[in-house]
Amino acid sequence: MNIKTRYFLIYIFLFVLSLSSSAQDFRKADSLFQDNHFLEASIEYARTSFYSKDITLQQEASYRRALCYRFMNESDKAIKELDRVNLFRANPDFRVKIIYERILNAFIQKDYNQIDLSVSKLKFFEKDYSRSMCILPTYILSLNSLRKWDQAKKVFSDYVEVSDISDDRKKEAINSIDSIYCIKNIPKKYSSETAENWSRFIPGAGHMYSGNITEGLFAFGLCAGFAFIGGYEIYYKYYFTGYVFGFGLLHKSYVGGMRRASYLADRKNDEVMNLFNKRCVELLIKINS
Amino acid sequence: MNKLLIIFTCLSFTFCSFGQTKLDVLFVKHLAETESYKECIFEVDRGDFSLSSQNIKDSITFYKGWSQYSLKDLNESANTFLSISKKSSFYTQSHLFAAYNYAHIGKYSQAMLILDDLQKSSLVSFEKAGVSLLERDYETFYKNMKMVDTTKYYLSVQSHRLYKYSKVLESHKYKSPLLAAGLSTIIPGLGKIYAGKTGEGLSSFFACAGLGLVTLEQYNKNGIKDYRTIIASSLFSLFYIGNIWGSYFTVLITENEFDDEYKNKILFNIHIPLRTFFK
Repeated sequence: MNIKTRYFLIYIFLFVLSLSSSAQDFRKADSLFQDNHFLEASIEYARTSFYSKDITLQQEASYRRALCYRFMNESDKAIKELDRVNLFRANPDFRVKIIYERILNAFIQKDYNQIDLSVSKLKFFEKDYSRSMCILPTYILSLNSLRKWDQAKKVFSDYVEVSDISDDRKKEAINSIDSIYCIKNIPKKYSSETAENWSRFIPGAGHMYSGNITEGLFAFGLCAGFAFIGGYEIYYKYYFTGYVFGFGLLHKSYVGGMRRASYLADRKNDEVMNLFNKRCVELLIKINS
Repeated sequence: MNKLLIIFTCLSFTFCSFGQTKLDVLFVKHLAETESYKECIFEVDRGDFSLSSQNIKDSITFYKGWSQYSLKDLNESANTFLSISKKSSFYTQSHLFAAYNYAHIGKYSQAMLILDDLQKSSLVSFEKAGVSLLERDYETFYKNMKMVDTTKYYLSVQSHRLYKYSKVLESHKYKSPLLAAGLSTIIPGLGKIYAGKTGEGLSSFFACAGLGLVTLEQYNKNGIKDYRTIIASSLFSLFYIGNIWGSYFTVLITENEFDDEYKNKILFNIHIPLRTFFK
């Protein structure tokens, strides 16, 4: 081999090496991601996607960028990034990964209807849950939050059926599901309107309806106290004092009490739902352990 | 022969590095266009473009400024836009947006200086008119509006709106907070009604009247030294003085609300032609 040929071979080798250094893979991005440098990692994923003409690589980059956004607490941007992936062109396993990540981000944002929508999309591609088991726990919790109990129970049972556990454990899990979703255990819906109406008729009753007995008694006592002051002052012919200090303050505490009762009902709903979901999570952990 | 090979190698790697810088600009542009603004700013800040041509530097600076503008970091965005050189194709666009950013954060004189430096055109005159209107300089507003070609599709509607706002602003008489306080001294709540807050005024009137009547009642029945009279009169005084104070501030707040409303309307209408023209 003469010197010219040797030179050109070395040149071509170095040139190709320098071109490929523009990162046709995710090594740099992945190392940044592992070191929790999510912003830098997302840039590197975007760079790989930008320089590559390979659609599979671009889709993978979008997925990994979405992970970066999730870790940066930017779920909305993560969803936007995931929406860039064309699900029709993605392979089935990757499609499930995308939808799983989308569901997770929607769950963080408490956008349960979006989860329902994502699962409907997935159902369009997948006939059963064999490939998409990973999405089911989040889906069950979101169905609970949407108070779609029958559907949640069915999905939970399907999850147990497709999970890789013994028949005995399956039976045990199904019994637990039946127990969780039996009517007496289903979280009661506390209507803010009902709480407000209760407080409209009896001050403090709305608080008690929402489970806050002490606060309800205090609200009742406050209103009764102001009404008494009003009546007492008027009885002793202090008409203006009775009207302003007694009934004026009664009106304020009465109206304020109604609003508070409405707020407490909403808070109670969140509390009971969290408790219910906690039971479901415990069962899910038990199934997977 | 050897020298020739070395020259060839150097030249090819130089071209390669220029090509890479061009790709980097395209990547920065891609980040800005895909709304990855934080990433775009980060990429520009950490990149070394010192050896790049002025044209490339300007392009990169423009995308950084654009990202800052999109993230509503308007002061920084204006500063970035202003560092773009006169030879750049982004010069007019970046300076117009810098002026808009300054107008948005209330630096009207700086916005005007930037616009004065730009080549005269309908769009520049329109922006100057908008800034003048924000400053309530009606003479300059009309002078600049005369130079605007209102038949241009991106200026016709907005010009009409600016004229409309100028008429409203010119005819608007600012209310006096001191007069409001005085009115509330005579009749509690009247100052708030004068400020345009009728509901608040009536509510203040009834609260003060109620407490006044309670004080009177206590005074008539128990005398001035009784603790109930003292409590009632103290509360009445507190409400009465508080109402005067409140009326003074209600006028200030109402006028601020009016100014803010028109500031937002004007900014919105000087922004639309910029976005339409540079789409």
